[in-house]
Amino acid sequence: MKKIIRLKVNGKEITKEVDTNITLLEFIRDYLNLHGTKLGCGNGECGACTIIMDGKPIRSCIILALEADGSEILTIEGITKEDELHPIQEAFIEQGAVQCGYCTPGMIMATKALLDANLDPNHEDIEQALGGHICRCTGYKHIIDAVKLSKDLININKQ
Amino acid sequence: MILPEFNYFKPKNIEDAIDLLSRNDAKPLAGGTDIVVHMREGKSAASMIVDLKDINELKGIYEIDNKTWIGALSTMREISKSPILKSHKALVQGAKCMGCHEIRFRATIGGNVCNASPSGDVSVPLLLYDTQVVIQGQNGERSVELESFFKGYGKVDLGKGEVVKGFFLKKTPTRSCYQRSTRVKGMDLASVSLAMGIEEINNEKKVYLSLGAVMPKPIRMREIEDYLKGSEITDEKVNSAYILLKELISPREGSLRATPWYKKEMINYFLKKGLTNLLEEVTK
Amino acid sequence: MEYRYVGENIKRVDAIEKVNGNAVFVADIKLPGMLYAKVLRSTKGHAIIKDIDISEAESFAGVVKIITGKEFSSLFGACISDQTPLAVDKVRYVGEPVAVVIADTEFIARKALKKIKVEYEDQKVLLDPFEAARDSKNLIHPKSNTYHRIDSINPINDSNIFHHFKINKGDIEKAFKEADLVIEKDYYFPSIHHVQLEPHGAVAYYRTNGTMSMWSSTQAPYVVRNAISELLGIPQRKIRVKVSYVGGGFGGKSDVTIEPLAACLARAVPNRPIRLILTREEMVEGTVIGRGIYSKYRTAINRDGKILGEKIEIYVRGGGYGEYAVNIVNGAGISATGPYEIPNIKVDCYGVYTNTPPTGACRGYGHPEVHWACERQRDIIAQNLEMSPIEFRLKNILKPGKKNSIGQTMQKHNGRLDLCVEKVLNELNKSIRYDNETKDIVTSKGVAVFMKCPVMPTNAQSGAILKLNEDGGITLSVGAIEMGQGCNTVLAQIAAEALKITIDKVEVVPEVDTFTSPYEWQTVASHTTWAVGNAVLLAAEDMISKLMKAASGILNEAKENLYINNGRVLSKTNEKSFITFEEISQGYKDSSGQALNVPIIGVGNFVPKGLTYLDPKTGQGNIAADWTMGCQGVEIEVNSKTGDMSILNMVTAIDAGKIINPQLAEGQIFGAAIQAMGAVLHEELIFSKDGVIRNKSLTDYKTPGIEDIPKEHNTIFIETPEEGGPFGARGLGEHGTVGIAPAIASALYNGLKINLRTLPLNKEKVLTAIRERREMNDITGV
Repeated sequence: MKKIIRLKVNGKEITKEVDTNITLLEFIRDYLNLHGTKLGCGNGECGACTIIMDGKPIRSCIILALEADGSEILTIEGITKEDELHPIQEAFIEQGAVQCGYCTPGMIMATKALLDANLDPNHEDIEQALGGHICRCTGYKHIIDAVKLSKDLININKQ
Repeated sequence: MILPEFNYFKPKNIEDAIDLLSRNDAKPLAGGTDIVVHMREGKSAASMIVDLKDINELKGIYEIDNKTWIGALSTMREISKSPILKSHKALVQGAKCMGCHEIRFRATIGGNVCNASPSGDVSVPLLLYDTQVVIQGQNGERSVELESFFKGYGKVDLGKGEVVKGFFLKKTPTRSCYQRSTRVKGMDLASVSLAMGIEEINNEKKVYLSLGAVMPKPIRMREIEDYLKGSEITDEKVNSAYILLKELISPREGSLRATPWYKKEMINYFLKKGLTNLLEEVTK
Repeated sequence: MEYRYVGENIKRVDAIEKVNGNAVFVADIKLPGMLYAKVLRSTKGHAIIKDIDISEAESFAGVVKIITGKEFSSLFGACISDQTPLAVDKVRYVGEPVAVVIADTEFIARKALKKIKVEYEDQKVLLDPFEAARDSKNLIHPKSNTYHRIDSINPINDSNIFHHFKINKGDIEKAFKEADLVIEKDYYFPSIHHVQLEPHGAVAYYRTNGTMSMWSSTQAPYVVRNAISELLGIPQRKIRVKVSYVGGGFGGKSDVTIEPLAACLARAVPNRPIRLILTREEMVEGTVIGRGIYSKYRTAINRDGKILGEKIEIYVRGGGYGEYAVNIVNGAGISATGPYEIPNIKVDCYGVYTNTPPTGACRGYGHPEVHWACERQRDIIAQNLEMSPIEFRLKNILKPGKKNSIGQTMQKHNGRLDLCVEKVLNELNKSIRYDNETKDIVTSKGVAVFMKCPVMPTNAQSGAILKLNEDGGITLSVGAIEMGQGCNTVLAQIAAEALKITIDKVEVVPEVDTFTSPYEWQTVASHTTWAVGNAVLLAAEDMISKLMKAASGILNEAKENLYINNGRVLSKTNEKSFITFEEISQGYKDSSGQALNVPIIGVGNFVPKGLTYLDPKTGQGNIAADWTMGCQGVEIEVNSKTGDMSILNMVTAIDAGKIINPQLAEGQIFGAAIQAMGAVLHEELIFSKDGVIRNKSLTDYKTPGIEDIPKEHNTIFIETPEEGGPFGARGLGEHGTVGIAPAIASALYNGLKINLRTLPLNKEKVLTAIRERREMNDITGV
């Protein structure tokens, strides 16, 4: 069965006919060909598919594409202009928070949602925002460092 | 596509939702954090999904006649941030630890309760508050006590075409807390959990107690509450309360999360720790 | 020696692609006309296949083809030919492929899969390697005696044992006769999963011109190529295996897993690309699992605390097929005694068929398993001697000039274990004592040491190609896979250092392609920095010599009088005489227009020298290319009422030779240690008695999250240069996993006087041990 959805993805209005039974992640990857958002488990348990929907961090593998009808979505491809790096991306590189890179887009989107809401998160806020995001490579230490540096870089940019 | 085929509707009012849900094989969708997973795993199938998220009647947290109302679509996030629920500490703690950050933006109280998981992180604390479930169906509205709403493992007292509108929390113990044991510190299901409340009226202490993952459904422990009630809660009394309690629960063998022995040990620990902490708070 | 790039925190060369979502993983590959495959997996642990009925599934609209084992029934395997891509007449573990549906969409393939009916006749399910080794009535491979295998494999006929590794050194009986103290204990490391975040996948494409192309998330494209060649009779030169980024490997994507099956699918449906991407649950039962080792240690000690001899029996849960575990058996065997000098040793390490998914490489390759046992055994011995466990260890430690278990003489460049121990103790003592110790909360510290070698064949080859481009920059091509460990960055650093050019002039080819990339055994065994690094050095030498030759002709200067720096070849005698790499690259022309040089390509090929097979009876020989030592320590906090444990502080000191990139190296140790911590605290695959893995989804297979990590986590590098390593470097990717479990168990003893010998040390097990000790009136569990 098919239905039409209208939504804004990375600033662009999109209207598409979709199968009713596809997840938002499948819509992003297979209909929009935005491959930066990853499938790690399909159960909402790993965080690799995290995107921002109407300002909130969302696990796109456990919601239906139709549930996103009328919403505004941001994926890793949309957080900055093509040629630039977002301060969060810079911080992830600087701190060595990237290894295999599979969890990275989800981690960055979760960090962005956190910092959009709170530019001065404490350690507990960071743990909460990235809790349930599995990274099997880094042991998390460099990721925490990266989130802390992100906040500093964003604050510097603002000044 | 990883999900089976289904038709999808998003009604704007409860009457339309009831009408749609009365049809064969239709399932309601609230936050979707469980149903999408269940469908993917083949544990649940439906030819029609009725998305309830546009129904305003199911939203909101407010007070009516000294009772607290929580709309079924209230998310974990909304519950944990609500100023109205500040005194419902156990519920807030449950909502705060359920799933993970992203899930808490989507998962709803109605969904969590209707799933009837024996370890539901809001179901267990919700039992403390003498909660009433308000249900609407084709024959109008009815209310049922949450304790009897839970029918067994994954089963609730909800008929074809009925929708849970929300929850009336009739009592609010002055102090309450929710404790759970998990395998990892972060995102996990509760291996075993305990919600507890205490209030003191005229030097008489009244204890509220409910448990998760020790029976096929979340359970309120009224016998133990009655046993503990009184002017003083001594260590001795708590010890014998636990001995009594131990006989009333029978956690299933073969759980992936904890053995019956460990669950009972943790209940004992949570019971004592909870009482100590809450009594301290009361005297303060 | 002063370096420009070696020892520097150069930012990852793949970082930008990975932070902006552009990095391509196998699931991102979509090709025109692509078909989708879904695997029907066995629901039985051990059963005869009586019948497979595909008729209903075949009639589904959109189903292109259904494949069963009968179509590809020839046995394959690099060490033991004991497997087929799909089960043929028998299934040997739950999850084994039984049939595959190839369809227009994944949705149709899934739907059709449900319509395939398989009739099984149950056989006895064997899960425990110790029991399976003794059960000669229920053979998982009744025809194993007839299997083709390489010479170094030593099976026991008419049993479930597919490989028996032995060490017989000195006189073990004499050691026990002379002993003042004998300690005998058994240990168990359960099966776990790697949980690489990227699910494994492959896209295979067979063309009727006889070529097979495959994109795969593999760590081992050349092993995959050989397996496909063996299985389908396609010559290697016509098989093209391509690997882009791999989203975590940890050994679970090494050797081969799903690739032979994917190749068969493509062979069955020519001229259409076929995509096979596993689900998270299929990753657990459909690739390989890790660990699963039961061991018995019996140690003879004299009253001074010197180890006289050790007798060890190890049983490796090999799974339904032994191919992937045979070398783990060897790795566990040669490292079983740890970094200790022991004159008399008897090791019997058995690889045993069991009705579980095959056990394969898993970060550490036998070493974490035997160190769990060996280091716990050291603690328990020290307790009995009433000696400090550190003192006992240092008394027996392998030092330069001493012989290890396989008879190799330890060298100075093998590193300073004593210094590693000292650094860890200093770091642990430095840490603030966490003062939240109450009557229920106990804090304590523990330490363990380790020694690890790369477990590899004697001919593990590595190649590197450096091409000079017209911009004077270099393209570096290797066969090693970037799976997060940062090899492309480290190899770029090595190339830039050797060629004395700026690192931005080095571009590493991000995709390995067996058509064009130089050969590489596989990206495993922590050997890339060392082996491929050596190949890059050799390629740089070759390139320099070619540049010199060209410059010599152009500048009219003898080669001996030339040197390179900053992208130029310069004259030592005349500072104004030089030529840039850029000019050389374009084919330098003299004033008459004559070209003076050919294109410059540097080629480097490396194979470890002097490695030999071990003597099959004594286990003595030169098989370990190098050894790396280290020490790991933890401070833990335990709630004695709940058994709940937190790691407060974790520290690793490792002598891995010269560190090429400290930030990346630290990242490897941190990641490995936290992975190991997961296996200590809660990770374990739980099998039903029928062989079903009950926790294959991430809902119930819990890995550590950000909330679980230690408050403090440090890594200390001791940098004793490795004689045979590039700039003195050695590998360190796996090592951080090796000592964590025994260090945590040691801390548990130090704090609570409990001696646990079976992992994981979850809350329940810790609480049980605390209760038992109390009931036994504080008698330790020794």
